[in-house]
Amino acid sequence: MCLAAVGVGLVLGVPDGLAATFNQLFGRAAAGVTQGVSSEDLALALAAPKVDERPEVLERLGRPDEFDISIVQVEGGQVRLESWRYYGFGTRVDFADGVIVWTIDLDPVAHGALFPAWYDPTAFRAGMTPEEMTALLTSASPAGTAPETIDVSKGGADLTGLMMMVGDQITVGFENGGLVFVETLGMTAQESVQ
Amino acid sequence: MNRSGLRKALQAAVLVAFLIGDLAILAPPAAAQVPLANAGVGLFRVINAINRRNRIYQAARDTQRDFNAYYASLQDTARGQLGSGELSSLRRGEQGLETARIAAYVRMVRGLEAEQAAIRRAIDAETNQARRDFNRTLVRQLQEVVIRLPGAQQILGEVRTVISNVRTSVIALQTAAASNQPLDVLTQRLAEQVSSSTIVQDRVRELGSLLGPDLDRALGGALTQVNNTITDVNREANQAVELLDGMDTQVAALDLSETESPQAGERIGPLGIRVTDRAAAALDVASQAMAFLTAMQGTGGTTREQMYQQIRHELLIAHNTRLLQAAQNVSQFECREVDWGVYEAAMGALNESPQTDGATGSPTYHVCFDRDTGEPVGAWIGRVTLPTETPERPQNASATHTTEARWTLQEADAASFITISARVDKSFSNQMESACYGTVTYTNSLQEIVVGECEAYDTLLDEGPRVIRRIALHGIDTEEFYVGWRFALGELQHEYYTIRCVAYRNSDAEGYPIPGRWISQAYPEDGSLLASGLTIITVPNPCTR
Repeated sequence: MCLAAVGVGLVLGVPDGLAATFNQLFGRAAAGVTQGVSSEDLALALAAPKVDERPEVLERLGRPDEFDISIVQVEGGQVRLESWRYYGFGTRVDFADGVIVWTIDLDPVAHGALFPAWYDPTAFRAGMTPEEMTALLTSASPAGTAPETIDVSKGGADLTGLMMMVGDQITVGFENGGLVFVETLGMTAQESVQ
Repeated sequence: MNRSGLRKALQAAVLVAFLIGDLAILAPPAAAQVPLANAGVGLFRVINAINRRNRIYQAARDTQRDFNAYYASLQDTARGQLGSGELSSLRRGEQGLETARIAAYVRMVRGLEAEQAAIRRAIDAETNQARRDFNRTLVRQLQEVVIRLPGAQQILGEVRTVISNVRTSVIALQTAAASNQPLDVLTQRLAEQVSSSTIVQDRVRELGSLLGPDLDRALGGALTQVNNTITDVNREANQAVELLDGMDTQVAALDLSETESPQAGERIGPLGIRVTDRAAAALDVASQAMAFLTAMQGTGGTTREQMYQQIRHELLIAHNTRLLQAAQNVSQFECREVDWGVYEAAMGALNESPQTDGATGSPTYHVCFDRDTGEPVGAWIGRVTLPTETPERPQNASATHTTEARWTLQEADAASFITISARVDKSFSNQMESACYGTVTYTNSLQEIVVGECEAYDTLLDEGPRVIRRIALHGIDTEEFYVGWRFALGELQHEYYTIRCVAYRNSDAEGYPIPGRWISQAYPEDGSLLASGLTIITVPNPCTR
């Protein structure tokens, strides 16, 4: 097939019909873009053995400056999406259920930001209860700061069952008593008058 | 008044930070028929995004486009890993890392879809003023807690306590020495203080990878000086006190009463997404980190991408075992560009012979040092010099090493086109290896986002496809990126490579791209398809010539 591609060499201004033919001939080029994920594929993916590569990244790069975790419900299960940001290394690492999927370049930044790198993202487990979370956040905080709870369900009927915890440069979200969201927050300090 | 603000970090955190306020106005009414799954994820992301709002966000226009482009980039990248045949290992029930990673991309595609839908619903809900007010109240509550920074206060306070205690002991030791009093008890106390202070030294690392290492080094330097005082108080005490005072001034200058939520990234352009090697993803992550450190320390002349390729190459071939070992913990060393003398000395310390590079006019030299010991752990020459100028527009499509394709939209006027051109040049060769690099340039004349993707094929062994880059062009724009191949000495060098590029335009009525919906001839999902095309560019491999 590829030798044929060499022969073709260059294709210009392909009309739709002809392009369809080429897409079939050289379908691999377009397949990555249009490939759908069927329910069956998702079911297989959710059932596939999981490989947790996060400890290796933790070991090599240390705890991230910031991270966010969202545990989203999909057809037939749930997926844990994580982004770990290392500003000192200019790199964000994204995981899907613990597997590294890609890195994203972060631009160089000036020094001075205070990041809560005392949190270990792997310590936040799906299904953690608010009580367990309170204990975790309190023990992780260098100051032993206990998180404050905000009842979000008062915001409307569609927010029933939601609850938010705000701790030491961290926010945590629960839905129906289960952990669904974590985000740590860097802060910027000013240099004071001398 | 010496008030120089410590400037903020977080240049490219979460793009949703840009989208809230304006988007609430732009967004259509909530789609009531959508199941309300993941309501928590949507709301909490929105609340944190509002918290991170900043001047850039407030000035930003077309935030919906940014939001869509952000998720589209991630979705495209994930889908790009699920090309024809890739899912077969999953369907066959195979085990192993390859299958696990394919499964992860499938999860990513569906997970991102769910998250994007949830955020959109949360944003749509803000068209209701009551919800908008409620969300702002939530943000204020969040800020009241977060702004206190108790953890950071605690760590910085511990640092100042250490400095104060050690300083007092050094002064006491100095005074006792001046009056010829016994020093044993005082030196023992000081030694104990220095020893226990290493706990605080480790603790400052919890302030993150920017400020933490600086404070760590500063505190380490001061404590080393204090240690010297213990052995020679008359010569070293003054310098130790001076260092401690300087350190204390540095920490005291951090005014935590004036903290603010950091600004999110200022750059909304295409994300620099790098799909990791399926067999060595963690190695890729380490290479990325090392490349950034080296580029930050360097004096220019070598881009971060080139540095990444070089370091990854070095790590993969285990050219330097110690460097590979050091990569096990990137945070423990730093890499920087050095001159020939430092490089030569480092290679000597590593019991290796300095290499020479006759092919590159102005080679760069790099050494990685252990942060704690200062000893070199690896060194290499930045051998490859890549063209830095924008490739000239090819004049002759049939030129041997240059080829160009122009793709014209059927229903557009003659001035509307997308040009994809590629040029490959032999750029490096020596006794050990050869490499050729080239550029692919997209030029978009359309007032809309066009997404392009290129894949490189090994045309002899049919090893492809490998996605080398996906880009999104925002309106009239030109995007250029490098492609490259590298060969070890004796490795089979192929006669041709093929770069296949596709470009898509797909817009809604307002001219925005429709996220998560990729239209090609094979999948005409709706009537919004304006045009699509496939361009095949075959590039003779100049490395063989």
